[in-house]
Amino acid sequence: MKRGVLFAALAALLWATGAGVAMAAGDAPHADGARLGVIWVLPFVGVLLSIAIMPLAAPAFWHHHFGKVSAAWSLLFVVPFAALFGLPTAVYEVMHTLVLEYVPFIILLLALFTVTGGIRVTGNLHGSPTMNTVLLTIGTVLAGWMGTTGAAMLLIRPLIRANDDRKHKVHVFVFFIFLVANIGGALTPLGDPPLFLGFLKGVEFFWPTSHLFTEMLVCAIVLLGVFYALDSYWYAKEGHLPRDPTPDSPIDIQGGINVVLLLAVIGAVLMSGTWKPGVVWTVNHIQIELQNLARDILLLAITFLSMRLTPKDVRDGNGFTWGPIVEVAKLFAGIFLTIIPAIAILKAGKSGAMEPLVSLVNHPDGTPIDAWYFWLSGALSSFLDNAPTYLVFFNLAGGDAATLMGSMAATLAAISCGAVFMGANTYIGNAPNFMVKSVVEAAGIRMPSFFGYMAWSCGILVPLFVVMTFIFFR
Amino acid sequence: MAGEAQDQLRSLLVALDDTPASTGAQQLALQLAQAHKAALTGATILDIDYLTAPQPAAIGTAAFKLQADLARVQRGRERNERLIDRFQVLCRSENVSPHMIALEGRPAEQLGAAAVEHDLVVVARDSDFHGDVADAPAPVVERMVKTCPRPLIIVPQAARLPKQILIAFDASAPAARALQLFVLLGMARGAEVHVIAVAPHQDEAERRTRHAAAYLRLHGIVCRPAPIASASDPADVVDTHARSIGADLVVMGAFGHRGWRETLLGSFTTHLLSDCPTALFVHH
Repeated sequence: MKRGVLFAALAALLWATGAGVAMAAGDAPHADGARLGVIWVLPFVGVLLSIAIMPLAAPAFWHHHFGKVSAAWSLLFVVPFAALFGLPTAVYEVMHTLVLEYVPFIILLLALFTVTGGIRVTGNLHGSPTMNTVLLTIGTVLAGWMGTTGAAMLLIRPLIRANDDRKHKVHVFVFFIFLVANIGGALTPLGDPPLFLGFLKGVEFFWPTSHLFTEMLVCAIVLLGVFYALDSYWYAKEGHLPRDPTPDSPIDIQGGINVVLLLAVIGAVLMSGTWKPGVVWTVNHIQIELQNLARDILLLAITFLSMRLTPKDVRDGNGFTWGPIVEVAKLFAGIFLTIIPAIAILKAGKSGAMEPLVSLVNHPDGTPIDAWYFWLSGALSSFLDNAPTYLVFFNLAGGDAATLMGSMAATLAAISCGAVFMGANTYIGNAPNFMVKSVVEAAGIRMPSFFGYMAWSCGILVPLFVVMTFIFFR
Repeated sequence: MAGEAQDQLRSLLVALDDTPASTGAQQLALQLAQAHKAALTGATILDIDYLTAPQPAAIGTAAFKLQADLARVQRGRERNERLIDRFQVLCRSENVSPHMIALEGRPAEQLGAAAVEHDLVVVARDSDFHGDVADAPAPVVERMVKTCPRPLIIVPQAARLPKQILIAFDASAPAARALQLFVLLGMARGAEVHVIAVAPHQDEAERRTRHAAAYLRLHGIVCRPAPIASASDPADVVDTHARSIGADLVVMGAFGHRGWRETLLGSFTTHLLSDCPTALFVHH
């Protein structure tokens, strides 16, 4: 009798999980997405919802235990997965994700975070409309090469100082978030984490530069134009300005060695995308290529050098701490692990459990509807982290880099633009948005509330994205 | 004019802020303390919960939020130190030595707890203690009206020691309690006192003013009754009358829980707090 109940329970479990089993394809034991039930996506949804809700619902608990929560969701996927599909399959899937995606991803973020956090711009400029527009333009260009976080953190303090005598200045920081913390990041894999994930998946280094340039340029020109008009209006309205509390003084760059190290970061990533020595080690069916290993070692060495060579007062002046990267490492571990079944299901396309989503974003003949890719990846990136969002839609579109760069280039552009641009829609769409808000508020300037900021984005960005849809993603 | 009512006002608590009405609140508290020879306590409030409120955040931003929270709390402390300095200078110019307390927590709760040691609390109608000017009545003030264990004087920007006082009396228990505390604290001293009652029928309005006048007479206070038969919103009638006699202070019970009609029309207290240009003496 007991055995009968046990079998019934197991049968029910297998039904709920889609009766998916790990299939051997080639040498690697891996999850067959076509046979995984949608319930396997639950830990991924759980970790994303935890990140979104728990800082609000249980801030003290989250502050102390977010790493454990991330680990708990990961175990909720890994343990049942190993129990049902076997340890070798689970070990392969976990190792594959960690070695080929998570570790390189975190190492790049660590290197960019450390290097850009070691550059400090001192001196004070006068926050006139022209100067502010120039600073936003410089930030937009830099964001593509040093990351939106790095560019935003580098320039936000000079921008605050330049505008400390302005009465109306909130719009300056809002447009800074739009352009520097988001849209400028579209040009290279270093610009925004989703694009680096694409690079790790096989998208060429300069593919975003060549294929997203026009979209980014249109966005940037329109936003800079609107900003200049708005800033000129307020500047004129303020009339006679009180004495500038921090008079104009020459600009100086401290921690200049990090500029060299930043070029080395760019070189290391570029090298891994262009140098193909053909040296590959295989560990548990996972292929580790020499150029990628060399890149990660170089990035770690650059990080170490940056720590050794940067004067302490430069980092102190930037408010540099390891807190953000530790938080990123812990939470992204959960995201990368729990996203495994979601990606497997998406890769299965119409034969997977997410067939309704696949049908939604494709015409009946199977061709993609780019507008859906742009808006869905964008809508999710507005409220969730844009890196996993990019991965989801990358795989929804088939997950093959060569195809996505070729015949489906417009679709990959839609996914990339959605993930990168629409992170600007809310404070939580992209980490630097909230970082900028916090630094500005720490300087005693009141930023718009969460919904107040969304009023800016809905009034300016969303209409722009609608127009872009008709131009680029029809 | 007021007679020889026994004066029990021994200690006042004034909540310090830097809103326009807060200037009026501090001036009035100082004048009352001098007139009644009462002790004066100035309280600053640091609303830690507000300053460090949870926010939706992106991955990797917790450390930035912490830094911003710490900066906000630090700025709040510095602001409160400035408020204390300014209030002490004001008091010293009038030869009054105030006691100062720095409260930390939710403003209405903290002021309510501190109020137990005092006879009367004076607060500005636009004070939320968040470094901004709130639309009157500030939510904190509305909450204090409901929860403060001592009578409150809610003050607009222009306030002075009352010379013309209007008692709004509807014969309810809160109004009777407010009247009693007003009298026992000696608030009528040196002022002309008017009593207004608004009812649909004249005889009912007159009956209410008679009751209030009898109680005032018991304490040696002569008043001018103004029974008004009106179907209009009593708050409008009281407001209009207060303006017509140039009242400096309106005394009233705090109402606010009268079912669906109050929900639709807004409570009497809130109405007067929003529109009436005079200070309000309120007890719940």
